[in-house]
Amino acid sequence: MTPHQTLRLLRRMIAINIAGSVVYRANFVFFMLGTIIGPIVSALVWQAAVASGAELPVDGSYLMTYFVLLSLVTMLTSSWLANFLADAIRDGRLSVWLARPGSFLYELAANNVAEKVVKLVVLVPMIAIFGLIVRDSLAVDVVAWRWIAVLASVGMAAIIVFACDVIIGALGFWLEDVSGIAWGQRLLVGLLAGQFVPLAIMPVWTQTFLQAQPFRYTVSFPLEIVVGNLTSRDMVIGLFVQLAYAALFVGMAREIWSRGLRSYSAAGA
Amino acid sequence: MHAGFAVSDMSSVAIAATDLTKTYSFHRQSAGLLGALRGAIRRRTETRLAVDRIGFTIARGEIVGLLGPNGAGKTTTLKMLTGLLHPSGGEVRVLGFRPFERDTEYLRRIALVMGQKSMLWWDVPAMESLLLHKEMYGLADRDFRESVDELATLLDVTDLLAVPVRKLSLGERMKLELMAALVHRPDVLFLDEPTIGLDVVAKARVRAFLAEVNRLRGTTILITSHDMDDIEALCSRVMIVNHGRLAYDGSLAHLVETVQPGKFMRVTYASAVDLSALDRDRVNVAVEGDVADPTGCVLSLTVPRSEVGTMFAQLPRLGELADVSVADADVDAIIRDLFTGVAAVRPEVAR
Repeated sequence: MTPHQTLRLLRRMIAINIAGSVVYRANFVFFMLGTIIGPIVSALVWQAAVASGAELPVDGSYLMTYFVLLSLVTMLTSSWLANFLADAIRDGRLSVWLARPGSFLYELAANNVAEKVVKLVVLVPMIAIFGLIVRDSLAVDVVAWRWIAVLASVGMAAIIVFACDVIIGALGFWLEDVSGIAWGQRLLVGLLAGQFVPLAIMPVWTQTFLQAQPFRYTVSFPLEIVVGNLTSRDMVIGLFVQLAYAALFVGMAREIWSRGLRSYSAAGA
Repeated sequence: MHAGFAVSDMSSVAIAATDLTKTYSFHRQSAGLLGALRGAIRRRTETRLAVDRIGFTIARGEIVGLLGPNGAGKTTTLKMLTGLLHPSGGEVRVLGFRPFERDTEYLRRIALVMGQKSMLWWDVPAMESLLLHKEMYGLADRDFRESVDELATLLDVTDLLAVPVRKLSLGERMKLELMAALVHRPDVLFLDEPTIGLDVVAKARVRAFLAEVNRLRGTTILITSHDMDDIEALCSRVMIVNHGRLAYDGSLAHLVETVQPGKFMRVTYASAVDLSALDRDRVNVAVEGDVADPTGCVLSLTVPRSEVGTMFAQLPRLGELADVSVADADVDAIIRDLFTGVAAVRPEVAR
């Protein structure tokens, strides 16, 4: 399949998945409400802590801005395919895809992009309303060109998370159930990515590790570009490190997927 | 290119397999909590021979039924032919391709319909899935429109194309599954239980459609089904797989004649009859039969095919005839006997 044909196929897949996702728009509203409530509560709790005199390496406006944008970045970079992929392997639905000239991974990627488009339409107004309410506590002072870096970073973060999910889901070629692994991975990655607590306020002795490990680049790093005090040099180096991690995880996902397909037996499926 | 196949004209061959073999490894676990704990610590891995050196060729344009009891190896065979499974041994070519290489060009020339697994997107109209197949198979706009029009007319589903798939009945959905599978005009169509769960009307429609597609497009069709009506309606040739081996490869008619050489006669008389009045010398056959109902008016007989005419001449001697019917053996019963080992048949001449 030529790159042009692949792009046309992906475009059609995204369209069909958007059409399918719109059916569940009301569900998405409540789902996104749930997504935004967690960071809002965290923001208010940390604001209260700062107001009570807690000494933190960042100020209150950093925390508020971080948590206001957290739900948006988390949604844009998240992936939810590991269990779907493992189920499709186990129950043989993957067979229907393997007999066609279009990879199941294309479909999973298209579904990921499509749902993000629909969720974005729902989530952005919610974030905008909350942002307006707490606008005096926000500290977004980013020059225009840095937003390009933010977009690039969010894109690469989404690729890393997607590849991680493919790796976990593809374990279904060898394991009966990957849901436990997927759950543990989400918890660990959430912590290391800065989803629960900003990495900047984690203990000092953990900082060297936290700054170097790959999952920082799935949520925290794009946010640091917006709210942190990253120098241009740190930002450019960070983007290259993120690119390297993206290439590494995509390479690992491709290898594990290829090996999995070779051992795919689908007995009784 | 086709070394290993003793076939004189490969251009007319759609599928060719020699000594095709597949073995599986699986874990065995004892029942109960203790068994589960033992299994968690030490797994017993066993190997099962699912397909055992089967060989056959299928010509282009043929419709062949692949039959066998559950676990016989027919779905495994189908999966090896479609490229879903890598054979453990032997050689297989479909349209000149090695299926397990899953060459894009190969995948564009085949289609697989699995009766219990959908290829349609659930929440959107089927037309969206067809448009996606248009991109997937690289179809030109005109070819796509012509194919959709032709198939929609044959299946009578034009009005259903704009309805979300989840709103359709099972029968309607299966028609659209077939449409999605055939929109790119595949040379070979693999069908795994295509009529499972359908009502009699929907089944008849699907069978008629498949026969028409075969006639109009020359599509080679390999079908697995537990519904012998599917096989009788569509397949001039059947392959029976049992315990992973090819137990029979030939025409359905030959299979029926071999396993059950007699014809069934059901004769109804105006009044009760006595079989002893039959002139055994003139019939000159070992006619098996009995009086089938309490009134003594209905007689059921199994008569060798060559003696049916003679038997007809004898029947009026027993009494006044009210009705006579002659039928072949029930194919379901024949297949059941073959599967359970009650009957056996020598494979027809190797193809």
